[in-house]
Amino acid sequence: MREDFIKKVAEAGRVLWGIKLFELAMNAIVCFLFFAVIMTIAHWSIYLSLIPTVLYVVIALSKRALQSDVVGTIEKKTGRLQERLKTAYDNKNKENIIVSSLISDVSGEMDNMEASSFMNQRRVSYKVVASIALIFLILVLTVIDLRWILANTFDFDMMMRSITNAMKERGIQYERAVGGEDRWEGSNLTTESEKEKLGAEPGGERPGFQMGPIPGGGGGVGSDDRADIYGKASSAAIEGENVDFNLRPDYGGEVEIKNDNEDEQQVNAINPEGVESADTCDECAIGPEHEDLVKRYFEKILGEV
Amino acid sequence: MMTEKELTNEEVERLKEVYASLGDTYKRILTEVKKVVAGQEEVIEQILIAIYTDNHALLEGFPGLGKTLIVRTIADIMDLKFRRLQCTPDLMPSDVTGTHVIEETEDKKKEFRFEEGPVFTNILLADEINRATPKAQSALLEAMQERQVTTGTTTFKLDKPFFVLATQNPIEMEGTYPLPEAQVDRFLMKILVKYPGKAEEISIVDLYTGEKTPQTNRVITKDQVMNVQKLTRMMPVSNEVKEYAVNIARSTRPEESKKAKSFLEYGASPRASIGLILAAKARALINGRNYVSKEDIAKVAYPVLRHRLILNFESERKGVVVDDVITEILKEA
Repeated sequence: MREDFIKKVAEAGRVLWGIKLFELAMNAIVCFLFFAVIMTIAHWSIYLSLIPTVLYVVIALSKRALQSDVVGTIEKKTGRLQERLKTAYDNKNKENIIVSSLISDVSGEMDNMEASSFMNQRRVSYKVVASIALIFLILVLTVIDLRWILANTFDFDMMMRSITNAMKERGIQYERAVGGEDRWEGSNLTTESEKEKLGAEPGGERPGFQMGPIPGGGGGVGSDDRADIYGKASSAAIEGENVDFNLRPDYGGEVEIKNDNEDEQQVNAINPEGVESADTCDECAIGPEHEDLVKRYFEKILGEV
Repeated sequence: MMTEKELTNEEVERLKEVYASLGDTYKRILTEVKKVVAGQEEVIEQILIAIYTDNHALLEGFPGLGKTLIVRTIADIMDLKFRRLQCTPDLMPSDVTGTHVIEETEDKKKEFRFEEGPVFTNILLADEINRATPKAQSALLEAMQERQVTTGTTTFKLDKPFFVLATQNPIEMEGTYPLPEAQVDRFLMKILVKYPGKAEEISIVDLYTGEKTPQTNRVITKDQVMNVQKLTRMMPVSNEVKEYAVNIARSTRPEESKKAKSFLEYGASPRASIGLILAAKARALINGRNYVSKEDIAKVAYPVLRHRLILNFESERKGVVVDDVITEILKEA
């Protein structure tokens, strides 16, 4: 019976050690993921998270090696063996009625012990949930540039403009609100400096899908009798002649270059993303009626250089 | 320590029998004592602890609290010889140990015969030991320690078990000879007998003003008592509990503990560590357990330590009680 008792304690010690290693592995994973989140935010290599993780594992292993009181740990985990197991173990080499009775009782209790009683299942569940949450956070942070968001959080106007530009780059057009009201019209966020930048009051050309000229509507994409958010056409001077310069918000955009006294002429701007060779790109071809204008323009630039 | 290998099979069987019935035995003893004594359960438990550890105890309390009655009743229940020794200033050592007397034989010859003193018993109640002279006290203490009496060239062994219960009256200390600290240390415990509660006092009045005198029955024999004493020594103790007991004893020494230094002049000796472990073993056995817990040590700390600690002048001036000091020490340990 004495030998059986000693074997049972040794077996329990092995199970305990296995559970401790499992908990250590769980902790190491959570530690790695936590530091991986920090590395992702800081745009550093995720492999750097291994350093604190390895440090933690080494420290934890050395601490557990020092505190290798198996009997005390078993007693703590199972309340009903409190003080009894230690007493039986410390006196395992003594032979008398009372010690035999104690060892018999404790052995019986140990037979009813389950390995799961050594594990804090709630804590393990929390660690699993934390791991999943951290993995998800890493995935989200990989897509969103958190630093940019944090830098621009307080500049709402700039943030929205940047988001709009990002959407434009991806070909997402901003639709007018129902009723045709321009969401930006009357926006309190447009400042005087913005007006100066745009060269006009708020309003102007409406963005929208290219529907082609509206009969009798004055033409132009999204043109409206109401004020254009992009402001009045600003004039560019080429060879001393004022040239109307309207920026189109369409994908690829349209650049209108016209003389004040001449009819509006449209020149299709080249879409950099859809660029094909000059031989195949019909839109890239400049009509004969525009050749002189463009030629003069570049000759002027060369002359200035 | 005796192990089962040194005992015969018969002895082992008897030990097993006694061990199996031990929890029930204590309850029966308590029931029998309660027929005669109302309350004082803690006192009864501590006296039994002293008996089971084969040690002696000091009993302190005001007159009329039933000290003699408790001891006599326990002696009756355990089938042990009981003798009472009233200590007075004129008590001689030979009055304690016995003396040689001249006796005439049948053939008209005179020879010395040793007349046994009251110490030749199983349970000796030495009432008001502080009234006896130091010489008489030392004769008793020697018998307690050696378990034998030597007169002239002859040594007489005392019967087993031998248990001395010495009482002290905490009042009327004038003209008394308080036991020196070195001698007080030989007693395992100092048991305080307090006034009974109101309900208990009503029971006492009912018991001793009625028509019938309460009678007790024998519960355990002398041999069984000795077997219980063997079982007490067999009780296992874990290393952690041993360390706890030693820490408590060491914490009473002013050179080891700041708290002790602030309250005490002298702390407990290693006899206290031994006493704590032995008393805790007996307590665990009485309560039907097969292991000693820290709670046992904490409970027996009070009776085991209170007569071994000497308060310093400052504590005495402030009216500090030794039990409060023990409480503080237990919190630290």
